[in-house]
This record gives sequence, structure tokens and C-alpha cells, in this order.
Amino acid sequence: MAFLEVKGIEKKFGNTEVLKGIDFELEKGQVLTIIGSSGSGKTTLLRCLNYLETADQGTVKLDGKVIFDGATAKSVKQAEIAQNRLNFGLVFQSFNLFPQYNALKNVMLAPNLSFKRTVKERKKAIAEKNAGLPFGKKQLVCFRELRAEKKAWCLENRKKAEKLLERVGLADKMNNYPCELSGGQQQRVAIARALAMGPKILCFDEPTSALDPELTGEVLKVIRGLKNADSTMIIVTHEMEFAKNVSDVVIFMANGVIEEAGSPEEVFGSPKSEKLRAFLANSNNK
Amino acid sequence: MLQIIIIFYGPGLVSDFVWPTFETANETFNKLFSARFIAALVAFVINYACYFSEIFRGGIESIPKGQYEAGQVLGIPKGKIFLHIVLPQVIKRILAPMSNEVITLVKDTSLARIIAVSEILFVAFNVMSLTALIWPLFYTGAFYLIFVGLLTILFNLLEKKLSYYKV
Repeated sequence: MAFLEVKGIEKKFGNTEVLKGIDFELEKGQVLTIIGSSGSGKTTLLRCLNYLETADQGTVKLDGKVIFDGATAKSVKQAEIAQNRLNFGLVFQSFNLFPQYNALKNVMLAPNLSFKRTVKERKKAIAEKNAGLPFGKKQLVCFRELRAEKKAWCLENRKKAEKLLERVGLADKMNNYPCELSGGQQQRVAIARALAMGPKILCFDEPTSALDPELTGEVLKVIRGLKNADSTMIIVTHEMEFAKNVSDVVIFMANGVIEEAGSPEEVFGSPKSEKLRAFLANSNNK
Repeated sequence: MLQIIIIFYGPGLVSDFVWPTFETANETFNKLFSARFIAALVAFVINYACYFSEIFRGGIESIPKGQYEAGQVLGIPKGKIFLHIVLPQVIKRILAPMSNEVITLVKDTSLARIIAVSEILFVAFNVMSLTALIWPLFYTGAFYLIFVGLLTILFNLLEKKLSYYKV
């Protein structure tokens, strides 16, 4: 049984069919690269996985558990979607960092805000512990303990965020605002931010398309580092060399269907379909 | 100006509504917060609520969709996305049009004299006609100048404070 199973994903925008039944599987620790010309539905596929778009049909199974079903997708509650979202992290093409926070705060923000999710249980636990206290005092103690816990939680997040930023090689840029960072550095902060919530699968939506070749290198280095750390990743990219080197599985998409899939040697070495051959010839000519 | 006239005289023309007054023992208080004053207040509130809400709408819509999406994929709930991600950026963007509008509001208060609210310009005119001196009017102008100048300085400071990042 595969770690991630995607079956029959279909998506229509109005009358245009963008995805016409996508199936693929991914093992834990593997890297999947999706290549294909613009408009073939690569980005839409990633957005469907991240619940930014709702697919019309199809299922997504993670670790044997169905986390998305096109038939019931409309009736699923927001809270559940938010919970399922944490399985995936997404790095955007256009970074989308929060400009009002510095690099460290960008990474810390989501974990800090997620404290609220556990607040109810904690409140209950504290209330049980202090059941004997009189009315006013109980609330006061509860409030104080919660505040202390939140402080500890934020401190822990800070340490984690610092470690993540070190991992992407930005230990000296922690207190800089996104406008003071270069494109490559911004994208690396974005990668650290996506890692901060501890996703099981990390998705990259053309992470290097907005960068010049020099900056592309540093971002790709970070992604390679993640591969060595056994992360499961889905990468949409136009960097053929990089796709060849880093991936375990390559998928070639055209017009909303998977034209060809296989190991990089198969796909790049002996392309079977006419479309893939034309695509690879074009990208080599550049 | 027209709005103030309509709001003060209009309800009385179509029904027997009369703008309420506070009847307290304090004479100056009664004079200050007269029915006319309340009508002018209502007129300004309605008028400026429209302008300000339009500014806020423009500010919120100017935030790129990517910011919401970035928050969503991190699993942040919608209310918090707005509060922690969108709103700080909105405030920075709308500060300049807001300062314009606030300064216009200060100057527009002089319109209230059309329904004989005793605001500063109205009083100045009264004193001027009583004493046959031009100075009260001159001082009123100076007052407006200083008030608006102070507001300008204040908003400039705020803007400087928020310019620690660029979008």
C-alpha cells in the first residue's frame, strides 16, 4: 500500500476540463516531480491536494485513510479541512511571505496561532486540577496557567523556527523583513515556513520560476538537502536537470492527463509518447 | 451641507418627529448638545461612515489572494488570517487616504453652522458682528490651520512608524 494514493482527480473550471482523471501513487520518503508544459494542469493538481481548489471527483488517500473524496467534498466541515490541510505543506511560486513580519516571525506565526486548537483540552485539565478552589480564584489560576503555557509554547516554537531557518541556511537573516531579502532567500524562508507545521508531504509549486539561475541554485540546494532528510515531496518544476537528479518518480502531464510516468531514467532516457519527446526536445534546445 | 439640512429639517416635514434634546440643570450643557448638534452629528456620522467604509473596502480588496492562500495552507483559521495577516497590511495601505479623510472631516465641521449649531465659525461670526472686528474670524482660521497641521504631523509620524517594511 502506497503512502499517498491519488485516484481519478477531475476538475473543471466552467466548461474547460483542467484535470481529466489523475492517478498516481507515492511511497514514503520518495520525491515525485511533475513536469509538463504550461496549462497542463500541474499547478491545479497541487492546489487540489492542498484544498485550495475543490476537485469535482476523485479520492486522495494518505496512509490508508481517505482525506479527500470528491463525492462528499462539499459537505465536509471547514474545521476538518483545516485539520487535513496540515498533512500537506505548499511552497508558492510567488513566495507569498507575510511582508509585515520578519523571517523568524513568518516561520513562527502558524505554530503560534495553532495553540488555540489545544486550548479547550488544556482548560479542562487545569480546571480539574483546581476543582477545589472558589469561583473567582479558579478562573484566575486557569488564566495564569494558560498564559504560562502559551509562553512556553511560543518559546519552543521560536527555537524550532530558528533551527528551521538554520537548516535552509538563513541563520543570519532571521530578523530581516521579506522586502530586505533576495528572491532566493525569500523562497527559502517560504520553505522553512511550510516545514514549520510539520507536513507529511511537502509540495512545491514551481519554486524557482520567479528566480534567476543563480538564485535557483540555492533553492534547489535546500530541496536536495530535504531529500537527503527523507522528506516526501511533490515538486512541480521546469528545471529538467534538477528533476532528473532529485526525483524517484517523474510524471509528465499534458492537457490534464498523465501522459507518462516512471523513474527518471525511463522518462528522460527513453520517452515513449510523442508529446513527451517533443517537450524534452524543446526544453533541451533552450 | 445639503445632507445636514435634510437630516435636520427633513424628518419634521414628513412626520411629527422632533430631534430630541437633553434637559439638564446645566445651561451650557443644554446649549452645547442641542437638537441641532445631534442632527449635525448624525449627518456627519452617516456621511463619513460611507467614505471610511469605502476606504476600508478598497484596502481589504487590495491584498493579494496569495496572502490568504498562504495562510490557508498553513492551517490558520479564517478569522485569524484576517486578524494577523490581512489587517496589518490593510492598515498600512489605508493610512494615507484615512488621514486625508480625517483632515477633511475637521474642515467640514464648519458646515454645521448652516443649521445654527454654535461651532467655532458660527461663534466667530457672531462675535464679529457684535464687536465689528475682523480678528475673531482671523483667529478661527488660525485655529483650523493649527489643528490640521497637528493632525498632519501625527499621521506622518504614524506612516513613518509603519514604513519598516515595503510590500
